Amino acid sequence: MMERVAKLASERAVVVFTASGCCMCHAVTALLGDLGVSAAVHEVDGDMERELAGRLIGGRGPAVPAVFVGGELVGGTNRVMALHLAGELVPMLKRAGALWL
Amino acid sequence: MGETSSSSSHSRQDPCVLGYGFHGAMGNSISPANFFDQEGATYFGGLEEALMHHTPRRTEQATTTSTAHHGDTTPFATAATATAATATARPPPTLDIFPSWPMRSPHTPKEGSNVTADSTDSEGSSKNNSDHKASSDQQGGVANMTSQFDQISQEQHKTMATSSTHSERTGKTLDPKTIRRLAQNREAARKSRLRKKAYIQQLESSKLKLAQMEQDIQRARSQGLLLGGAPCSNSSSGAAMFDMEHARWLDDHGRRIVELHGALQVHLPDGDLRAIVDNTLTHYDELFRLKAAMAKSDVFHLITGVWASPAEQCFLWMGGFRPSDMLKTLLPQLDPLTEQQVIGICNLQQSSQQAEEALSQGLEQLHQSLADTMAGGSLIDDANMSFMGQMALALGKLSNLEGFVIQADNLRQQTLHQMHRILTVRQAARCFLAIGEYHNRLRALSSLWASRPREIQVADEGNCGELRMAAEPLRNQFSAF
Repeated sequence: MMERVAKLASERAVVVFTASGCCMCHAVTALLGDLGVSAAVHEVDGDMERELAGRLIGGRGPAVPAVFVGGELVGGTNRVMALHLAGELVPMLKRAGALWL
Repeated sequence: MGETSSSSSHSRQDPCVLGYGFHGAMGNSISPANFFDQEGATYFGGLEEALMHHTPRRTEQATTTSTAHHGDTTPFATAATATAATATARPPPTLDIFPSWPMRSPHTPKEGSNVTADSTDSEGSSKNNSDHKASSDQQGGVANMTSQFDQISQEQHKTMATSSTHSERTGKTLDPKTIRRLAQNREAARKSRLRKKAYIQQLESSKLKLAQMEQDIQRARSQGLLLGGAPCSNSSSGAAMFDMEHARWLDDHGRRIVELHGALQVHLPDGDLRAIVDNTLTHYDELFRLKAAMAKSDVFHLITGVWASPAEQCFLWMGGFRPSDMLKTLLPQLDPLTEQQVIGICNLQQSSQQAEEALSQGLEQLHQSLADTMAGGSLIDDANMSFMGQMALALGKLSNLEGFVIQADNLRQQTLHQMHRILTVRQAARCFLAIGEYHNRLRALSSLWASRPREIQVADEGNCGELRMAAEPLRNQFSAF
């Protein structure tokens, strides 16, 4: 199961796992879009969502959205926002080749 | 104290401060023996003493009222003259919170006959009767006080009853009975004053509580009666708890601001200043922790912003201040800044703006989704059929709301931390001062706005309670001057 996630995650520089009807996922993908990133968005079903939650976030907080940059897990909304305010998200995206300039 | 003259005061000019429903301002025409016998002058002596000294200016005006009233207020006459009895030297002024009290009057020798008639009754019963009449004629919410005074009077009556011949009380005698009685007068006066103080405090706290309760009721009403019994009470108690904790946080914060201010003024060394600044940042972290807990328990309370002052509510974004706006306000206040710092802050502002925009979009999607759910099925035909289903769906979606408020608070927290990182210690101190002062001004604006003088419209149901509340304190504040 996690191999599938890992495989999907490395398909593109930025991969976001979302769930249908998740409005926070919409917020994160909107932010990435705003930054000029073309992220691959995959909707996950209930089981996979639970797996994600368990593995990635240690059960705390919502499983989605889960953001991978350069095949590596970055985190959930909290992490992405914090990184962005710290000015570290954009450099990370650039390093992964998701952004130019 | 003026007890030494109380026995003879009836023969002098005397105030008739008849607080608590004694509407006749009585002159003290009664012969000394009578009213002392009947009314336990000590009881009224205490009342008199406690009440009279803020109304000396009314003495002249009272004359006419006393004559007007005397005819129909025989029991009051007796009571009143008792109050009139105690002419005293000037004890310290007491709190004038009952400006509508009748005025003092110089004694007018008219009621004598009435009172004499009363006095011929048996001592105990006449005393009790007049007292009860007096108390029953109370108007306004002072029955409590009256019953307290009643207690005093009854105490005094017992004492009075024990003293043998009241006819001895003529003129300024200093016989042992008089001395004892004067001492009792003093005691009663002191007790009266203490009770009055306690009563006033009770009133004030009740008033505050009432205003708070009215707010809570309005809040509960706006949250929708749909919630029914248990959930509603849960949320409102959680909300009340949060409000209280927030108020405490504000108090604490105020103190830290003062500390920061002081530290800057005395040019504390950076090491010490840093400690204070770091503490302030930690204190903000506590606030966000508090709000996060509240978001999980009752997100509506946070997002509607009723815990914040009205002016703050005006600018509310997802349950708090908008970080990019705050940064915009702060930037000019923090001069001088290095170019690098300015760039850093501008970048922070831009990032925050982007994050805010993303969150707002997400919230907008939630709104739309909720609206669709609410309108699901038919709102008209067979509306009941789809009701519960839609409600269940909506409840599920609502839980997402928490996430947004928590993320918004996260943004705020990150903004503060980033500013702390970018700025020097001194600049950071000034930054926190600026933020604190800005919110302070918003709160002050709210208070000023709430207490501005205006007509109280009784017809305005929603506000009239609060309006009345707001106007009254102002009036009371100034009446003392």
